[in-house]
Amino acid sequence: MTAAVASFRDPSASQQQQQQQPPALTLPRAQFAALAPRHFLAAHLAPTSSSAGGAGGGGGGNNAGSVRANGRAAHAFRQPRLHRGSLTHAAGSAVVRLGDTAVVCGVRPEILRVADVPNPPASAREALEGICADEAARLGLLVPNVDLATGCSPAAAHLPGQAPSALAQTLSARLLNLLHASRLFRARDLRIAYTPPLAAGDADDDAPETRVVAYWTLYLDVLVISLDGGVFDAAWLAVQAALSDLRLPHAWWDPDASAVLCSDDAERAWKLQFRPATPVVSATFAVFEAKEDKRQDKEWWVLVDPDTFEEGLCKEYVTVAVEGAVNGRSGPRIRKIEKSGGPMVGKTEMRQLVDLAASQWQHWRDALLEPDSMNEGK
Amino acid sequence: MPGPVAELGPLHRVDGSAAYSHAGYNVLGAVTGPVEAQRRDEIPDEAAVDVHVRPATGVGSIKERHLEAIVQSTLRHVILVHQFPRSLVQVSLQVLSVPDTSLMAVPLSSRLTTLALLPALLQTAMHALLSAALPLSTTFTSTLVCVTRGADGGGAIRASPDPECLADAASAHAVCYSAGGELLMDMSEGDFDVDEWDAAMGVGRRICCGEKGGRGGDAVMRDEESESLQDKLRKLVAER
Repeated sequence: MTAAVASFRDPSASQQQQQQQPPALTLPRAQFAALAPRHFLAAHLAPTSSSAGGAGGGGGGNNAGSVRANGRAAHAFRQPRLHRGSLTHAAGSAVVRLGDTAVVCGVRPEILRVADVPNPPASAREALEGICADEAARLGLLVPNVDLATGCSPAAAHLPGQAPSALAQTLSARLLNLLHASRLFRARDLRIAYTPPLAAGDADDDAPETRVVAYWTLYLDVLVISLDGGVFDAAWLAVQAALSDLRLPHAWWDPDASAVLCSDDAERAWKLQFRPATPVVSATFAVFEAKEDKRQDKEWWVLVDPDTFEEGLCKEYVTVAVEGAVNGRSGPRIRKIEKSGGPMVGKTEMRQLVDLAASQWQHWRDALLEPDSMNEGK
Repeated sequence: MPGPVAELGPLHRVDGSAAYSHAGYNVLGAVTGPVEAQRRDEIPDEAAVDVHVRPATGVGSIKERHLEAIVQSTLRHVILVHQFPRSLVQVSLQVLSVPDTSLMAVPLSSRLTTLALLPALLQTAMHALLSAALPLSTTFTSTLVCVTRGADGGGAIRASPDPECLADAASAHAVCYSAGGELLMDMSEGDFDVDEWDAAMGVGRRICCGEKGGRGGDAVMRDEESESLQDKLRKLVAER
């Protein structure tokens, strides 16, 4: 557009310019990226590969030195920033930003009465003694839901008024699996128990039995405001931050009203007690191959925390969820590994990826412990 | 526990089909394609792969969408999609039955509903693709292993665990290996470290691809048949 204006003003000058330029086809950066995205990214990762015959940097997937199109090194994460308590009407909430990905999560607690459960998981006594440890999974006490908001990305897939897309449903399912696999807090904290008072006529050797009358159910609604890759990691951090922000009111069983009552006394509201090894860090990795034809030229890179542009070019993904500091007794504990879409990441690469994910643990922990990391800096 | 049983081509009105049953999971798979794709589904330079998973009871939910996404990304790698641009390969997987755990004291965890089902779905899809004679870059086989931790802290790896063993295990791993022994898919869940994961992958690979390239000596596969899943697949196709 600007070139056309220039030629209109001063045709002789622009002609001179054209003659001076070499005849080779040169394109502005944005056009190159739009026309040949794969070559664009490959040229960033291995600027010398065309002259060095494909030997420059690729091949092993462990080339930490290459710089990607977005300016990050191949093994550089985007550091999360978060803000808690943003939503007034949610019991716990958090906004997480991971680069240009922005996610908000709100927790809404509800009370599930045991009498309303069609098939209670176990007798009340078993439940209290912790025999049925997986009651959170069996009763569905944690209900994550991911909503990809209209306009969260330029892709036309997120239109209003439609059924949740396959991506949104898959993200919800993955969050649910990781919530149960990671066991951030004890499920029995979600119980509301009742011990009947000792009746006057009873013998003192027969203490009244404590029974579970209800459970807290936590609805975790995740709204993706802006989508630029790494959405699962951002959503998972938002869920953990919102759960750590959650304050549940003191609830008790009132036998006279035959109902569970909640106290509005803020002093008696309580927070979930997380395990000390938390947070559980989730890290996504994508495998980028320079050539789309498989088995020809095995030049490939592992891109850490890919953005949307890179996700469009990658087919193999690995998501690792780890906990605990790096210098643990025998390496980090892994809670989940999801790998699909290709054969590139094998045993040796996976060890490296687990270590990379564990290196993020301190950052996530700091972000969760600090009051607000979103207001400071840019 | 009896080994897996597969049948090629039980359905007659689709391009390829397979019935597969192993460890209480029965899955029927059908492949149609390559057929003309709808405008909104078609990809200019490759075939779209469409996977539908139907549960044994009820209608599909987010769990099925997740399974579909995993199976789809694995199949897309294996099918030579660039040979059929702008077309569609449709894979339908109907779960016929899952092990009845209503009388067992096992929690209804995602291990049981997702990880244990995944190998059966992938195996069925592979058999159905072979039955449809679609051009593939390689074949794959899939299995489930779990790591159990004894009271002394020592770990043992169990192949094809039953639901009770799966519920007690420290970690569960659904793996999928190509015929060349490359790890195509891995869904691991639980509490484990890299070394345990490595050992579990080794056992999974031996079940899928046999001894070649793997190291022997672990007393894990004693109760299993020595024939790998890849050998079984090859034999089944040769018979046909």
